[in-house]
Amino acid sequence: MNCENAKSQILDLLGGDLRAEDAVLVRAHIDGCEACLRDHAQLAAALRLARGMPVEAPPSRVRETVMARARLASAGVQAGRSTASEEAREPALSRFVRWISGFVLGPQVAMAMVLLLMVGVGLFYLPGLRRDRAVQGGAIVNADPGDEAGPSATMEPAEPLDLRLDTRTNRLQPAAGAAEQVIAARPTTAVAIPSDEVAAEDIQSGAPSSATLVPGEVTEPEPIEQVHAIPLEGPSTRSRLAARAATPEEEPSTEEERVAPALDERAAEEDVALQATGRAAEPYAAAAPGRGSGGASADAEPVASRRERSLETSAAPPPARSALSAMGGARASAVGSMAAVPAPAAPSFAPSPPAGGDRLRMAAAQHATARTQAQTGQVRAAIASYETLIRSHPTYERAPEAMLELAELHRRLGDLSSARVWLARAERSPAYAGRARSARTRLDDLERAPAAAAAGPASE
Amino acid sequence: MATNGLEFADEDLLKRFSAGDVHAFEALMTRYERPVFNFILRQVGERTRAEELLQDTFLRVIERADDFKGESKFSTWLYTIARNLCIDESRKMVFRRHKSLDAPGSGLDGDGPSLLERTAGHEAGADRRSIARELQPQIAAAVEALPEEQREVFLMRELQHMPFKDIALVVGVPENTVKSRMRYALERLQAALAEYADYAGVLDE
Repeated sequence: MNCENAKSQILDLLGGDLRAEDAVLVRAHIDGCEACLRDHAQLAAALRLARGMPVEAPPSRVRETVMARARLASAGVQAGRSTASEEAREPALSRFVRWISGFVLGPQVAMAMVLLLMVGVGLFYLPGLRRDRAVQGGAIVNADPGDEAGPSATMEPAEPLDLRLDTRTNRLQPAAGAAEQVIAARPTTAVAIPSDEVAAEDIQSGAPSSATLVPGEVTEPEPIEQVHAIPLEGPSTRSRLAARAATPEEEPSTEEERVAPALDERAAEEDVALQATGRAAEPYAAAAPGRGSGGASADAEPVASRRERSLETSAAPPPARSALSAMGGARASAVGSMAAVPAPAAPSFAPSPPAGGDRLRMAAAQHATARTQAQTGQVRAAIASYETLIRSHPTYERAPEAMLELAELHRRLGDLSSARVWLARAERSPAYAGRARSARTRLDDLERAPAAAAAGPASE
Repeated sequence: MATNGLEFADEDLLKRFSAGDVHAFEALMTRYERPVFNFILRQVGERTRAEELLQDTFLRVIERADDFKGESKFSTWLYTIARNLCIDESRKMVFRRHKSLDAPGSGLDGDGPSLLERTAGHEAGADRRSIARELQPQIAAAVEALPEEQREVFLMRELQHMPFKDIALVVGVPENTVKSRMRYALERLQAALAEYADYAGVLDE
C-alpha cells in the first residue's frame, strides 16, 4: 500500500468503515510512514474536536404537526383501500350501474332507469301478455315457444279451479261443476275472436273434448280427433310440434299420431299441469295454452286481472309441482302457492340489503355527533369524530360536507395546512367543489391578512 | 398494526407507511428527526427557520412516500430533500447567516476573550462540563462558518455517520471529492478551533 491509497482510506479508518483486513493494511502503512502517521493524528484530533459539536433536539411541535399530517395521509390510504375492497365486493350489476351513472346521472336515477328497462323487457317477454296481444290481434300463436315460462304458464287458471283429490291416482282432478262452467264459457271466446273463425269453431267443437276437465274422461287418453280439433294455426306452434314429432323414438304415420306423442312428451314436462288436471288434460293445456282450458277460461275474466296473475305466475319457478301436489285439491291455495314462490328474477330487483342502510344511518349518526361536539366547543373531539366518520364511511354521501366542516375546525385551531388538506379532498366532490373553493379562498385571505398587516407598517 | 420500527429497515418502514401504517412513519421520524434537524440547523444557522425546514422535509416525505421506489437508500433520499430545502433557503437568506456569524460573541472573529482566557481563572478542578458547555457553541459556530460544500459533507458524515459513497449520491459528486471536502472541513475546523484543541479531551469524557 502506498501513501496515496492510505491517505484516501484514513478517514474511513477513523470512521470505522473499513473491513478488518483493509484496516490492518492501512494501519500497517501508517505505522511505517511518518507523513501518513502525522496526517492520521491531525485528522483524528480534528474529528475529536468536531465531535464536540452540540446536537440539539427539535421542538416537539414539529413532530406533532408532521405526525398529524402522517395520520391524515394514512387515513386516506386506508379509506382508499376500504373503498377499493367495497368495490371488489360490489356485484357486477352494481358496478355496471355505477359505470353508467358516472357519465351524467346520479346512481339512484341510473338504477331506476336500468330497473325500468329490465322490467320493460321482462314484461315484453311475459307469455301471458304476448298471449293477450295475440288474442286481441286475432292471431293464434304459441305463447311459449321456448317453454321458458315453465309449467306455470301452461296451466295458468283463468278461473279459480275447482279441484278435488282423486284418491286412486293421488292426483288433483277438476270437479264436474268447474268443467261445465269452463265449457259454458267457450262460445264467448269464439265470439271474441272473429278473425279466427276456424279456430273458434275448433274451440266450440273441441270444448266438450277439452273436457279433459270432465272426471269421467280423466283416466282415458284423449282421442286424437279431439287433439286435432285444437287450433294449431299458429306457425310457431306448428313448427314446434313438427320438431317434437321428429324425435327418433317413434315414427308416427299420421299427423294426429305425430301430434299426440309430442303433446304427451310435453305433458311429461309440464309437471304442474299433470298434477292438476290429469293426463287427459295435458295435450289441451300444452298445445294451446292461449286457447285451451286456461286460455279459454281466461277470456271470461277481465284482462287486467289476467295480466296481474300472469305477472305472478310467470315469475313462479318450476318447483311449483311439489307445492301443488301437497295441497290435495285446495284450489285457492294452488294459485296462492304459485304466486308465493319466489320469482327467479327477483334477486336482480331486490332492494339493497339492510346492511347498507345501517351503514348510512351509522354514518349520519356519527356526523350528527361530530357536529354536536363542534357546536359545544369540543373541537378536538369533533375533529377525531369527523376523521373517524370519513375513514369509516368513505362512501357516505355527505362525506365531502363533513370534510368541509372538519376543515373549518382545523381553521379554528389555526392549523391551516390541515384545513387545506381537507378542503382539497372535499373539492374532489363535484357537488361540494364550489363550497370548498370558496372556503379555500377565505383561507387564503385569512393568511394574507396578517402578512399584509405585518408588512404594512414596514413599508410605510 | 403497530410498528415500533426497530426490526425494520428504513425502506421497509416507508413502504409500510405508504400502505397506511402511521406507526412506521413515526419510527422513521424517531430515527431521523434529530440528525436532520441539526443538519438543517447548521446549514441555515437559525433555529426557527430550521424548525420550519425540518417540518417541510418530513411533510415532503409524506407527500412523496408513494414515489419512493427503493432504488436508493431512504437516508440519502431524505437528506437530498433536506439539502434541497436548505439550498433554497440559503439562496433567499444568505445575508442573514453571515449577519449572525458576525454577531458579537461568536468567538470566531477574534473579538472578546477566548475560551482559554475565560477559563484561565478557573481552579484546577474546574467543572469539565461547564467547559464543554462553553466549547460547544464555538464548535457549532466554526461548523457553520465552513464553506457550504464542506459543511454539508461534514454534517452528513458526523451527524448521520453516512458512508462517503452515500454522501456522494446526495451531493452529486464523486466519492473522492466528498472525502477531499471532508478533509478540508476538518482542517478548517482544526485551524478555527486550534486554541481549544487542548480541551477536546474534555468533550470526549
